[in-house]
Amino acid sequence: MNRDYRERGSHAVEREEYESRRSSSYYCYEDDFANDDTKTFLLNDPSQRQEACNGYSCNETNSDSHDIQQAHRRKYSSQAREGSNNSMYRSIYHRQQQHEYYQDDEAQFSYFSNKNSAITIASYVLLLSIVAFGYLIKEMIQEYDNVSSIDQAVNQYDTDVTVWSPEGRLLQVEYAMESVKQGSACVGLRSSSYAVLGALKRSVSELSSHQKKILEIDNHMAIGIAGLTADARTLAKWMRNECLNHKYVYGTPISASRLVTDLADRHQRTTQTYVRRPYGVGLLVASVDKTGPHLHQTCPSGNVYEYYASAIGARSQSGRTYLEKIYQELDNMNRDDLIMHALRALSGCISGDGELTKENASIAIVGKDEDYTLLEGDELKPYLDRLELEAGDKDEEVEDVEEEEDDSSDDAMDV
Amino acid sequence: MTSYYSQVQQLHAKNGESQIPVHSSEGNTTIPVAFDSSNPTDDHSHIDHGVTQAPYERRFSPYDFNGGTTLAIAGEDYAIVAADTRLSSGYEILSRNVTKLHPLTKCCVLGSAGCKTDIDQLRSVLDIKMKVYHHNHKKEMHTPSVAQMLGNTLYMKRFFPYYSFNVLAGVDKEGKGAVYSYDAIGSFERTPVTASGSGQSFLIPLLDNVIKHQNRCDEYKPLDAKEVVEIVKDAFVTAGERDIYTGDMLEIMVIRKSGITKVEFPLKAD
Repeated sequence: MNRDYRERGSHAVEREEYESRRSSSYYCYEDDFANDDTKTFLLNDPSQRQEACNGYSCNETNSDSHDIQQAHRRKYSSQAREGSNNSMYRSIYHRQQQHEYYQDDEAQFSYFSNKNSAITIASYVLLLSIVAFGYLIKEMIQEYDNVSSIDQAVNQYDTDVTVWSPEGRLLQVEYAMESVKQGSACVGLRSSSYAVLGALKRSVSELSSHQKKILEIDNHMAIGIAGLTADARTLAKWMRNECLNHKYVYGTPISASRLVTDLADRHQRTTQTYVRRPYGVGLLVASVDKTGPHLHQTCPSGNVYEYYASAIGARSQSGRTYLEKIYQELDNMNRDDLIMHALRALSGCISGDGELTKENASIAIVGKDEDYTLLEGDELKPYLDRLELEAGDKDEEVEDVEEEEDDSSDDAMDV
Repeated sequence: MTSYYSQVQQLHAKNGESQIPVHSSEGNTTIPVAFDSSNPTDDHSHIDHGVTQAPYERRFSPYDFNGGTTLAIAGEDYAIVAADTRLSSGYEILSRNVTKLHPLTKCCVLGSAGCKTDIDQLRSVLDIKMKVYHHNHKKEMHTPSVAQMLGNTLYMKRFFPYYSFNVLAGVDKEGKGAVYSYDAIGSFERTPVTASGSGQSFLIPLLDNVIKHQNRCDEYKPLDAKEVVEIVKDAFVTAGERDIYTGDMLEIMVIRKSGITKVEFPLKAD
């Protein structure tokens, strides 16, 4: 550019750039053409383009070509004036006419006559400051609205599942995993011949029934859910269908590892599509196949791991801690002891002064020689009674210790 | 005056030949054509696959009858279903130990005779439907519902049927015996006694007389399960004597509300 455009306002700069673009590349910019028919004609025919440019390429800069442009214009305007029927030349003439028009009136668009310069500079500065101030206000309001436990900067990256955060996290998927932690607790454990699921059923109010958390998938498979129940039902329906199809096609029950791999793929698909959201539910899949019992855990991100024992849902950490202590003894345990361990892990996950009752506990078992069995209500009573007895024994021990302490203090007082 | 060319043509025509003139830039020529049997235009007509001289209709049949007989009797608080275990095709025995009975629920058994592959497919389809029902309703299907579903499933293939002649035996909600007999396209009826398969003509009249007490002058005495099992054994022995497709082994299932018990009884192997 011959002139130093930094001295001028942005408006003038834009116009200058537009001019230069137009003058140096007549045939490459679609927005230059007022007549649509000539536009398509020109753009689709490079030979015509070449001919018209007369050897000048379309990306020619106009840094030194002011004279050349003049010659260019003169040549084609003369041709046009000759009355050529070629519409291309007509349009060039049209363009060139406009260009000349602008050139003549260029003086009109100069913003820097001396008497106005001070006022215009001041007005631009004021405008800029107002815009900046408004942007600041907007940011502050945004920050105030977004209350999140994660660093406030990440709120920009969490509106869509298809957006990465700068730390390389998919925040929507992580939020979906939070949803799993909102569901009530569900535990699972396995021995060498049984896989057991335990669930703490929540009820909305005293009047309502307790929400079922264990679903049968097939004779040899069951799932315990934590999170959005409706999402879990969709997944269960799909899993049931897959099991039936597999049995129909191959004549044997599907092995859980294959099914949960497909399930993981389903989860992943929802994390990479614009129009869907991740499933907000975590599953504990208990199953038996010819290699024995298995326990798998799935989560909304699509990760699947196999476990000896696990717990998911609200306050499940205490369940996991308990299971970590006992999981090594599980291998040869008998059926009843497995159920007791599940109930003990579950009882740690209850909030406050609630307790496990036959209404809110449920146990499911699949075994090598046992099809899916669900224990609820009265069938659970013997196990819950045993649990209560154990708790009672522990309480008695604590009381004895306390009494001893009291006696010693009395003795001290007497003395 | 005739040309040489036309004279030659007349001569050939007299001999039964005629020439078709062909004019081309290479020169003119003729193609001889004779319209009699000594010069056949299509050589293939010499070869006769036996079709033109002695035509017959070729037909591929998708069905095969694999033989066997099934029987079902409904009692007061029980139902009995029995079937032999012979699988045959034409005059050959394919197996002596293939079951024709298939429990659908704890209280309901399906017995089928006919084309084995269609029977197997029908069973797979029914198993899936039972499982889907169980998933959706959290309980097992009652026998009358199973009967209706089986009838619908058969009718769905009305225009390419399952070649399967079924009897369905079970206990209903009250515990009473229920037996349903079917044709291949799903027409069914609840009956006290029924039989299907190659030996049905030998069994049905016998059962009408003995179990339903028809055409008898003596007094009617209700029969309990043990007696009926003995009658069924005799009936199958009788049918096996006359029917070549029935024999080898008899399977009898007694269905009660409490469950299913199975009895096996050997039959003649000829």
